[in-house]
Amino acid sequence: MALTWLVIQTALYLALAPLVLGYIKKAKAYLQGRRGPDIRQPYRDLVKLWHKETVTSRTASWITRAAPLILFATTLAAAVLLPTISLASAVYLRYGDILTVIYLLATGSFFLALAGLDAGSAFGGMGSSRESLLAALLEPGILLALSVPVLTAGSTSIRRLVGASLSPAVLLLPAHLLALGAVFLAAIAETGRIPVDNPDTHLELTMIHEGMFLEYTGRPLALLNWAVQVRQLLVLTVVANLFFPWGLALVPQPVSLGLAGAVYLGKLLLLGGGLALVESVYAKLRLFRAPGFLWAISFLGLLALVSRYLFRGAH
Amino acid sequence: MFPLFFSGRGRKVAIFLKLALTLLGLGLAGNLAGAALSCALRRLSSLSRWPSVAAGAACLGYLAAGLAVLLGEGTHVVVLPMFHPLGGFSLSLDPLAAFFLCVIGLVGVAASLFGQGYLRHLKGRDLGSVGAWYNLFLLSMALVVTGANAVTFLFFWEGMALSSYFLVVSKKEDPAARQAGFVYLVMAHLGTACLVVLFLWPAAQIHSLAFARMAILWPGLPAGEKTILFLLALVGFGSKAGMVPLHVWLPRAHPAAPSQVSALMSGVMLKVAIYGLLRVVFTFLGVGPVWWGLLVLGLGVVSALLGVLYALMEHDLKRLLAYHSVENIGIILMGVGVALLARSLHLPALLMIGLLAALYHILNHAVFKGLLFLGSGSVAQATGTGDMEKMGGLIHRMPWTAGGFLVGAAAISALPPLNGFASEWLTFQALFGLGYHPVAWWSGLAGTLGVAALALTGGLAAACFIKAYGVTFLALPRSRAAEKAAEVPRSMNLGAGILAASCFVLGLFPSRVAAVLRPAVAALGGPHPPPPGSFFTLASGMGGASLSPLLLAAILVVLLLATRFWSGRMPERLSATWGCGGTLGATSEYNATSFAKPFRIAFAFLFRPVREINSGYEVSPFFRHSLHYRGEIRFLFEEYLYEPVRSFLLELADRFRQVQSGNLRTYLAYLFLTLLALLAVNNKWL
Amino acid sequence: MVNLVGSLSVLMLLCALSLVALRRYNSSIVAVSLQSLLLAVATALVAHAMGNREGYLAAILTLAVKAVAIPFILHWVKGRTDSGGGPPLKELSPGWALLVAGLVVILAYQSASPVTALGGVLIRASFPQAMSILLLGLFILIVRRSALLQIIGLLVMENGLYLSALTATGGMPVVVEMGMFLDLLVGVLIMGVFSSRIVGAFRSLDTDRLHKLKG
Repeated sequence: MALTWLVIQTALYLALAPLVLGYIKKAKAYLQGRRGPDIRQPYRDLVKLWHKETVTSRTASWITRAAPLILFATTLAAAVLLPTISLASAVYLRYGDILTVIYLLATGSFFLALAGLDAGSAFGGMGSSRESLLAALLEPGILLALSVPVLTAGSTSIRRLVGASLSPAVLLLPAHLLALGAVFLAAIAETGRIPVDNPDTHLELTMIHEGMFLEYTGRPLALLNWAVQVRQLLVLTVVANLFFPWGLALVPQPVSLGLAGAVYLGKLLLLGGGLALVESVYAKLRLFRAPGFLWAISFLGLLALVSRYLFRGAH
Repeated sequence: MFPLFFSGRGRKVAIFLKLALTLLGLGLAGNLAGAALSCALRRLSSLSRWPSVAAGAACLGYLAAGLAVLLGEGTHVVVLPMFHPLGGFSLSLDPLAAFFLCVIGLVGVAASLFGQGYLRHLKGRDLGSVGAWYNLFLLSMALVVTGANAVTFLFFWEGMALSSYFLVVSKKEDPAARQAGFVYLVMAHLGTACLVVLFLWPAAQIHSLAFARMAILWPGLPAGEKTILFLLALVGFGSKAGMVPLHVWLPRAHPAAPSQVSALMSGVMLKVAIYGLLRVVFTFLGVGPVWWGLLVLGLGVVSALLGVLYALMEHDLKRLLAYHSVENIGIILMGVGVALLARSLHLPALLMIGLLAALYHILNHAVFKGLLFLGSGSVAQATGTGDMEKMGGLIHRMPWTAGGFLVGAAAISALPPLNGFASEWLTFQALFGLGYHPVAWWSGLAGTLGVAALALTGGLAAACFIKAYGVTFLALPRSRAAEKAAEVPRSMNLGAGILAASCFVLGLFPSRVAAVLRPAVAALGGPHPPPPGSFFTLASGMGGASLSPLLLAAILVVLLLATRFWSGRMPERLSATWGCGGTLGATSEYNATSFAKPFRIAFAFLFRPVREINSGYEVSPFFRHSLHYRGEIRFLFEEYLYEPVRSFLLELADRFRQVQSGNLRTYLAYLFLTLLALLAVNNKWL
Repeated sequence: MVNLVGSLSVLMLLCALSLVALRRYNSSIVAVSLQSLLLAVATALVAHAMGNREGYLAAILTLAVKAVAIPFILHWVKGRTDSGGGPPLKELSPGWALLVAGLVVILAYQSASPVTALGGVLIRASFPQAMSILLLGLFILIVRRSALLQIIGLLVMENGLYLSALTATGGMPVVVEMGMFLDLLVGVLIMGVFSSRIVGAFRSLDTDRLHKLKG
């Protein structure tokens, strides 16, 4: 049973991830008054890349070849730890917690950054260097924001986190709302979107995340893109299901599962729209303004914590 | 063999203890033999591997002895009185000592294996004396942790400092090494002075230097005195452990020693200092006020952050690793701090998690930092330099070394499922636990701020090792030496391989490790029940969170294989790296300085970087013929703490210099007047 | 017998006091030899009184080393350095020096009183003098600028020390004495060589010029 859910969960992430990207692009285009690409375009891109020739740098080592696989595997392993529509995969959830998710994602980023340096291109190095700075500065913000639900649940276990957030009384706490704000900003930074990074840039010098992909072609590039899409979906799922776990099917029955699926899609639509809105309204920050943005996330998280301690008081 | 006095519960305990002691005795004998051997063989360089062999055998003995006690329900203390004429050295092997003996043994075996191949290629060092001091260094560390009274402890503590000092300055023609050695010696003696006061001051009241008596009698001392003792222990052990702001010697001294010694210094010697701190604070001083824990936690946070930030700015591989030791000592101190707070606040479950996190991280850091230092030694031997800016592309020429270093880099960056992740996970749990049990808002906030600091540290450490690995091993070689580098001998890689395998084993079976650590945790006053979790999973003290790296690893492997199988093997065409139409060379690569630049700018408030560009031109500034760039950062503590103290001392010395006239008769007059004054005092004239 | 040792020690003290006042090399050497001779006699007397046969050996050694060999070395040094002709070095005048020496002797007698109160007859008779000689030796070392006269000051100190040890113990084991004599002989030899080097470097025996060597 647990194994079945594992497979379903994996398949769901893999299938849904490009669609979410397509939706965000479409929503952004709509907000900017453009027609924009078809919502299925990310699938087509993946298929196109999958059938293209692979060209690898002569100076590259096995790191370049292994990085897409490692990024893909770690991202999926992290993704299946998070519930999408049902808590039934709880057997597996017992063995993983939110820290595991964060550090699995870090593992993927670690190897991706190494791959950026591997070919000896200055752009790759630039991407690695900037990405690791932003990732490092984002970490405290993410953990401070997540501390609020963690301390409410008394555990870092994902099942407990979801369980604790199910109580409506929790949602109305100012700490929870502040943490939600922090986590949403963290999601923007984590998915490499404006104002921190621009996923659609084609100018090497302004690339952060894309810079590391510059040497990749063909099937490895398809894997990398797909992994990044899964990662984006994962981050949105954290916001959607850890902070608003309502609608999750507590028992695996067809009706509740169907309902849960609909609610999940609705939440994703909302969050994706939010990302598109922020991207349309704001301009990208200069690289050395971005740390300020990231510190602000930490500050917001800290504020959430302080308000948690002050409103609930000491025991 | 030795006169044994032990109180054993059952036959099994007795057998284990006898085994342990025999092994420990063999280990000590092996070290002594190694030291003697290398003195005898100092002229015969072809035999220079034998002292390392002896040391390796000795370390196997230490490891086995430690494990025997930890596995044998070893809650009993064994005392073997030895060397009475020298004022009573006595040794005991309780679980806490056994744990540290294991750490010494494990890293020692690997370092000694590595040393066999490495020592033969050392240039500019006297192999005989390196071998002798190396053996004495290991011996002293083993005897510090097994010492059962203050005399033994202090004697070998000093032996540890001196033998490592001689290893640091073993490169004779290097003024930097001598200066590093001097700084090390000053800081080491500052610490030792504190420790001498720490142990001898209460002895005036309790009339005993035996640790067993101290454990009974120290808790009864007045609170004010205990506070001073705590601070003395913190400064004395902290200066040896490399705690900020007493860390300044560490990044200087560790890189100057031969690499397998650096591995031992960073991986093990710092832990021996933590051993002392744990022993004194947890078993002697008794429950203290809350601020002790907060202070240790705060120092841990500061050490971790500053250590990793300065490491990012460092482009010498070994010095970078040394700064990371400061960082990891900080992480260990965070665990210790939580445990201290939990003890003061009477939270036994949290106390256990804090101690477990600290001990686990001690073991893990010893393993991966040892591995990284051995890797840096291989690189240094192959390229003849420690400067990362002169390396690059070594992964093609030194695949085994590169593989080992990658495991170490991933482990220190706390990537699952390696060992660094397991202990950092526990540290996170301990900090969250502190946040969850707030006695007051500040203790909760302290815990969660610790979480944020640990997260930032983890992120920066990962960035730093992306830099270190990427610049050293990947891309194109940046110097002739790096182009010509060749893989090192097999014995060196074998030493590193042992530690790399340990990174996996310690990471994949955390619940087993926790079970082995249980007696040591109990020895420090942690609760007795076994740590939660089953065979495969490690559970935290906080409700329900658990970790199963083995399962995680299985899923990762399945996913990796599936992806690999599915994406298949497409025909791959090799081509040049994209260089915007030009040709790329080593000079256009990102190097360590450029990688670190965004960090330098983002943390400019701390680094206060100095930057200087001189361009030479003849006709117009647009046609330059030369460009010189100089960039450096300024160090906070050196500038605002050590520099004022140093200049004050120098000024004071200048004042005193006037007393020293250089005139023989003046000196004699000082003598004469002193004598007369003493006589006058004796006669009660004054 | 005890009184005789006491008188001898008083004579030795007088030698020391005269050395405070004397500044010429020849007379100083004579004075210190005389003091050593008196010490040798005192040693023999103590040996006789204690019935200690090894004591005679010590007396003979004292005579040979301190009263014969060392004065001989000193003369040799004086001949080598040949600095008697230079202008006299500026030092504390003999009057002031003797005044201070007197105060030192008073202090020494005062300080010795607790020891003499506890000790035997022999100590009571000669320990205060021994202590005075010791301190006077040090005093001579301080006021003299010439290296040669400083050696003599050291010898006076040594004599005082030896006398105090002799009276306190009634004769030391001969091994200890042999060691002491060897030490002294070597010490004086080294200092003699150094003196001639100092003259070579500075054209004078004035040790004050050594401060130029300070780093």
